[in-house]
Formats: sequence, structure tokens, C-alpha cells
Amino acid sequence: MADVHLKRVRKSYGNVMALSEINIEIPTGTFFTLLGPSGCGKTTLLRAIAGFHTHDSGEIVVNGTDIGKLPAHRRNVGMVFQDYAIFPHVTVRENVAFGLKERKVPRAEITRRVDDILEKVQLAAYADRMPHALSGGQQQRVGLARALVVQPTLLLMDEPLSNLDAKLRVDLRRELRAVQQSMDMTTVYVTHDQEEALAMSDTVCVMYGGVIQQAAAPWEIYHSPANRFVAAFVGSNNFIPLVNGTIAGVPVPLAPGIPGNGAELALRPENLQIVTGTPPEGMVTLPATLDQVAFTGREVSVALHLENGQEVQAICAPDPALLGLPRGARTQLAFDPSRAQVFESGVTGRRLS
Amino acid sequence: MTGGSLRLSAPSFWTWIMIAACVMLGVLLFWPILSVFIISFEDADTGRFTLENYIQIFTRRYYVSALTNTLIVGVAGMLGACLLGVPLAFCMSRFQLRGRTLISTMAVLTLVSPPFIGAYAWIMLLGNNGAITNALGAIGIDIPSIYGMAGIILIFSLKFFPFIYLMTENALNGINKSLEDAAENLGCSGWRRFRKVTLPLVFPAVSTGAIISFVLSIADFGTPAIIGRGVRTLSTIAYTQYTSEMGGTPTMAVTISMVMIAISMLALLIQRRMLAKRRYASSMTHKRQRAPLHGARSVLVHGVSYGIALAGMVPAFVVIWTSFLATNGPVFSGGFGLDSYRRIMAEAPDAVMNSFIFALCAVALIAVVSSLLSFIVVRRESFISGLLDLILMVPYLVPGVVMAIGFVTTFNSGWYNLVGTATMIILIVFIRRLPYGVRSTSSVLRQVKPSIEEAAIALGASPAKTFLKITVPLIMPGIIVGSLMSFITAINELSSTLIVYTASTVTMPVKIYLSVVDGEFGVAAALSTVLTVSTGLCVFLVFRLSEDREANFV
Ligand SMILES: Nc1ncnc2c1ncn2[C@@H]1O[C@H](COP(=O)(O)OP(=O)(O)OP(=O)(O)O)[C@@H](O)[C@H]1O
Ligand SMILES: [Mg+2]
Repeated sequence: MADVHLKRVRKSYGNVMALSEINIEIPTGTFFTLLGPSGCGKTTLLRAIAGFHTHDSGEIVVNGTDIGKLPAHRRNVGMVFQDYAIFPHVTVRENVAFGLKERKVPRAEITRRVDDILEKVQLAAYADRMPHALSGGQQQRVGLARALVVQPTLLLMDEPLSNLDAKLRVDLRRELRAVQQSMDMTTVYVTHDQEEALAMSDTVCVMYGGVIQQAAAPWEIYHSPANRFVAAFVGSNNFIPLVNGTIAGVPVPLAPGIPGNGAELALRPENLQIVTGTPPEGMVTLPATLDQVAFTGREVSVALHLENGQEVQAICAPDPALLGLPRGARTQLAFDPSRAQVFESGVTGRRLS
Repeated sequence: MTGGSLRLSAPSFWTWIMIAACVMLGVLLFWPILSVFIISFEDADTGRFTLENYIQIFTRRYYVSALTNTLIVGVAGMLGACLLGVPLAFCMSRFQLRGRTLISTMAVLTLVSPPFIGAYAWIMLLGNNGAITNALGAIGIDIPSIYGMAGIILIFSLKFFPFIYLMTENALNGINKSLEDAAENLGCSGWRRFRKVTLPLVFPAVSTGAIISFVLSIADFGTPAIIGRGVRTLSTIAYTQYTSEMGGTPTMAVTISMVMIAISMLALLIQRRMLAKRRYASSMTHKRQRAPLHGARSVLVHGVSYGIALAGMVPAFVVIWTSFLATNGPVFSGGFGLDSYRRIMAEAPDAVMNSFIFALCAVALIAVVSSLLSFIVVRRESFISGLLDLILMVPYLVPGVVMAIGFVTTFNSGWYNLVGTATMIILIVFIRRLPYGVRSTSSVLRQVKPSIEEAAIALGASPAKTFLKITVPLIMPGIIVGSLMSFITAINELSSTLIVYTASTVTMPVKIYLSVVDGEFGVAAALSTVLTVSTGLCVFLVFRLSEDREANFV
């Protein structure tokens, strides 16, 4: 129920620049995910929006007004914490009712709204329990219910699922997204789990070193990463440096304007094939030596190295012939040059094709 | 991340509290100390600046001998306490003793009982007319006099060893067993290993306990006043000077006070210096098993442990026993009776009432102020909150006599004239015991995740309301334990109250002191029993409410 606009937000801790020039637009109802490695400033940005600390400059505009100077308790921003932050001294019901009481909502309405939301997060049966008698996943849902029940203009979540086991994480992920969509709640979600980010979000925003690298739909993030960092961080990728337009002596057909040096070819493992016979038309083939073959059920992950020593990962369909290859076997690696992306060298090198 | 979390969201509320805290500490702590400091440079008659007061202290025999006596009893009391505390700690941490809880409980009880009770209890045993003196005298053995230096040192050793014992035992339990095994493996064993490896490892703990004993020894007024006879110390002469200078400017009393503060600070600095050179990172400990005991060794170790712990409890037993002896006026008339209790009901009901009222008022103030202060110290990372943490060390260093003289010389005119009021007694006790409250609340607050408070803020609760509805309930255990601890020390306060009390504000410790001076041992014993029992009750409650039992007391 709110569109959020961050304009040139900056924040530093002493001489550590935690956020530099953050500009983001989040339309109403969007599930917006901040994705990035540890220490890239995700929490810092979230806490600046919530008002738990001041940013140095810039504006945080929600529904047209700058809330950047408002104290945290007057921002009407819901927050779900990584460590749940459930009030340990009151029951589940009182936890959820806390914000409504603060807003002086009439008693009957409090009861109704608390019951509704507990129903929605499937905790109706636990309303009168104390928090310590709940599992981690249940506590997490109390945290979610508590934040949602006050119908905040904006919902913030800082790695809410990271303390849970893998199975529960996937279940809760789905529930969370369903609740968010049914309430049409603008949501900023922090995670460093790329799969979670891709699965849940309308928009994924990749951050690195306090700078936004790319904010786009999951498909676009994965298939057309804006720079080398995004290509490396989201999904796996093989980066192979170009030397005079070749890889280990094998010429690679490149789009015009791409330099033969100082650039790297990014090849997703699933776009690499291992060929034993003659390679298909239009593919580039590189001689390679097999290091390891790992069968994971749905697919086979193969580790190889090229003649120049460069290590490469490939993911192939399961094939008994492939699994039978011994370590050190000589083979050929083939890829379609039109599916390869080229980036400037360097952590955040620009995309060239 | 967590520290400054509420800085923006709470500019008004917590900033106001911070300002209030600074003003409060400024008025109740620094102003009195500062005025003492200034007066110490004044000429008593003309009020002009002079160094004469200090020159006198370091040249006139009366003062110099008090200064040396103070240092002697401080150092000797500290060493005596180490001689008792370290072996007890070693026995307790290394051997399977029977009745461990009993021993540590006795140590804590010894710790919390006021030293002046120890002083006169030992007089009743070993004094000129003491029970043991008389018994031994009857079979022809003369024992050396308990009065004077020897008595003071004995009392201090027996009173303060629990600090050293509790701290050292804690450290000994924390030593990684592999370290001692490694030493043994390298051919270093037995006494040599203890001296070369174990002792250096527990040195920080022993020295911290020792410094506490030293600071408390030199600050103690009751013991040298009761048992010292001719031996004067700085605190007794500060009191005497203060009473003799009454009416005029108490220049000599305050100068002595400044010297006492200086000695305490110096002791603390020396200890810090020694510790700075020895910093051991302690890794995950490989816990040692306590060795089983058999035969003669068992008898020896049990004998030593119980002997030390019981020696500390002797005063409590003596006063309780004595309080039930039948008396006729100041004379014990033989047999048992409740005469002493009847007398305190008749003569000193106000002392009992005052003690409880003053202590409870001070504790109520401490509970409120210390929970606010600990929030500032723990949650708000700023220069001022760091400074507050440091400032709260100051009351530990200022002897009670000094604090009281500071108050009297500061709040003595105009609308802030508090001389002779109960308010003054309460405020002195409050400021002196505030650190206990802050320490125990802040250690609990550190366990509370800041995100719980942030959750409340995000739900729309104001900072003040968040504090009341979320923080306070969560730190309640710390507030209660802190309050009990401050109650124990508040109700036993003698040295400062003795300076500022009037006929209507007499307290139990003051009355006990006066009774002992008048030779009214029965009354003193009955009052001491009331004190001891209330103190013991608080200790019991702290034990029940707190997991880390003994750690609360050091
Ligand atoms: N209170 C602080 N003082 C100084 N530096 C800080 C503080 N809080 C965070 N930082 C620094 O700011 C940077 C961003 O921190 P932030 O907590 O936002 O990272 P994050 O992206 O949330 O990481 P994670 O995924 O590990 O939670 C880090 O380099 C961190 O070290
Ligand atoms: Mg974070």
C-alpha cells in the first residue's frame, strides 16, 4: 500500500562507507529483495528505512513524504527480525496485539484482527502459549503476524528465514509470499540466499560494497546480469579470460567492438557440453582434462581443466558414459558462443555483450 | 550495529535521561568530592589558598603515624586475606569436598556482614575480659593482646578473605587443565608447578580481590575505632578531626580524606599496571575433575577449608549467642534471656526503623536510577555512556567517611541545606551503592537482544514506553538482585552515617557502634543479630533468584 523511493541515501560508519548513493524505486505491492554477500550493507539499508539509525544524507520517501527524519516509532514500518525478537515475557496473542494496543485500537477489534492474522499464519492453536514453547518456525511466524497485523505501510524483513532448516525455509518461503501477495504489502526483504531471492521476488536488487549493482526482475538478473559481479553472485558461472581473442589458443568468434584482451567470457555451467565425437555446428570446442564427476541425481556436475590450467565447471544431463570416464580422461568442452556473455575484467566489470 | 540503535529514534527521551544522569552524578558525586578537594587547599581561619594542610599531614607525627598505620593495616589485611583466601580457593576447586555449598555460603555471609561486628565479637572472645582469654587464663595461659594493630589485621584478614576466595576459585575453575598437564609433562610438577604455572594464571583474579580488600581495609572506620585502642588510622583521625573541627572549616578532615582517595586510586592504578603486562587469552577450557580425598589428606583439606570458612563466621555466632544471654544493665548476669531484645525494643526502636526506612528508600532510588543508567551504558554507544561506565567506579574508591564529609561541606546552606536530615543519609547511601545496582542490571541487560526493543519501537511504542513495557520486565531479575545487594550494603552502612547522623536519624550500625563504645555489649549483640538476620535473608533471596550465586557478591 505504499510506493517507496530512496534518493541518494548515504551512510558511513566512521570511515567505512556502508551505503553510497542508494537510489531505488519500489512500486506498491512489490516484493523487493536485497541480495548480496555478507557486509555489503543490506542490514544497514533496512535499518535506515526502519529508522533504527540515521543515514548521513538522502531522502527516504514513502507515499510522497520524506520519513527520513521521523523517529522510528512513528514511521509505521513493520519489521521482521532475523532472530525473531519475540517478546519472551508475554503470550503469542499479546505479542501480536502489542502494536494494535499502541495504536489504541478498540479491544474487540484487536481480538478480531489478532485472530484473523493468527489464522493466516496457521498459529491459531498457539495463541495462548508462551514464546519459549514454540519452535523456531512458529516463532518466526509470530514475528511475521506481529508485523503484519498493524497493516504497516511497508514491511521490512532482515533474513527472516536464515535461522531455520532447509525444508522449513522452503515451506515458510511459500507461506510468506502468499500472505504478502494476499495483503498486497510492499515488502523489502533481505537475504544472501540467491535461490530464495530468485524464487520469491518481483524485483531482486543485488548489492556489493554499499553500491547497488543491479535491480531487476529475477529472470533478467539471471539472464542478463548488468556486470561481472551480478553474473558471478547469482547462479554459478565460469569466467574465462580472453587472450588476443582466444581461449587457450582456440579462437572465439566475438561480437564486433569487443576487445580481444582485458575481458572475460562468462559461461554458465549448464551451457557447457562435454562432447566425445564431432562437435555440433557453430559450437566452439576446447580440449579439456577431466578432474572429477559428481552425480547428484537430477544432473551430473563435472569439474575439468583447460590446457592453460583454467578450471571449469559443467553441468550435464545424467549419462552413464560420462560417469564411466576416468579421472584424467582427455575430452572436449563445447559451448555456443551466442550464449556466452563478455565482461570487463575486475570484480564489478561492465558487461560488453 | 546494536549499540547506537536507538540513537535517532529516541532523541528526546534518552537524551533527557542522559542529561539528568550527568547532572545527578555531578551534584551528588563530583560536587562533594570537588568541595572536599578545594577546602583541603584552604587555610582554616583565613580561607586563603595554602599547601599547609598537606604539609602537616606529611610532617606532623600524629598524621604521619596514622598514614603509616593505615598503609600497614591495609597491606597486612590484604596479605592476611590472601593467605586465607587462596588456599581455600585451591582446596575448593581441586578437591572433592563435602559440604561445598555450606562453605561458599559461609564465605558469602562473612563477606556481607559489617566489619565492626567482627571487631567487637572478637573482643568478646579474645579481649581483656573475653571468653577465651578468661578460659585460657584459668588454666594459666596468657594470650597476647587482641587490641591494636594485631587485632585490626586479624579482623581485616578474616573479613576480606572471601573476596579473594571467590575470585580466585572462579579463576582456578577456568584454567585449562591441559596447561597444567603440559607443565607436568615438561617435568614441572607439585609445588613448583603451582608456583610457576597455576599461580601466575590466577594472578589477575587474586590481585583484583587483593585490591578490593586493600581499598576496603583502608576505608574501614569501625574496626580500628573499636579494637584499635591507641592505633589510629586515617579514617579514625578523619572522623576525630571532623568532630573536633565541628563549627569551623574542617580543613584537616578533608585533607585526610583527599589523601585516602589518593591512596585508593593509586592502589587501583598499580593493580591495572600489573594486569596490563599479564594478559592471558583464555581458550575453551578443558575442565578438570576434582580429585577425591582419602585418609589424612582428607582430614587436612577438610580441616583447612572448614577452619577458614568457620573463622569468618565466628563473629556471627558470637553476636547471636551473646544476644540471647541474660543481662542486667550492661552486665551479663548469667544464663539465657531476652533482656537485650527487650532493651532494644525500649531504647532503640527508632534505630531499627530508621535503618530499614533509609535502606529501603536508598534501594528504591537505586533500582530506578540503575535501570535507567544501565540502559544508557549498555545500549547507547557514545562517549558519554562510556564515561558513565567509568564514573561509576568512583564510588568504590571514595571511603564512606570522605563521602559524608563531602556532603556535609557541600549541602550545608540555603535551600539545599541537608545537614542532619534523613535525606542526606539516604542520598549518601544511594550514591555509594549505586554501582552495585548498575552492575547487576547491566549484566542482565547485556543478555537481552536489542532487536526485542527495536521490535516494540517498530510497532509504534515510544522509547519510554518500550523501556517500561519491554526492557524493565526483561531485566527485572537483575534489578531485584541489584536491589538486594544494595540493601545489604545500605543497611550495614556505618562510616558515613556516623558523620551525619543526629539524635533522630540514628541507625542500627551507629547504635551498635555507640553501644560498643559504652560497653553495652548485650544491646550491640541484639542489634547486630537483627542486622545479621536481615542480611542473611537477603543473601538467601539472592541465592534463590540468581543462577550465578556467589558472583553477585564480588
Ligand atoms: N555499528 C557499526 N560500526 C561500524 N561498522 C559497521 C557497523 N555496522 C555495520 N558496519 C559495517 O558496515 C558494513 C555493512 O554492514 P551490514 O550489517 O549492513 O551488512 P549486511 O549486508 O547486512 O551483512 P550480513 O549479510 O552479514 O548481515 C559492513 O562492512 C560492516 O562491517
Ligand atoms: Mg545483515
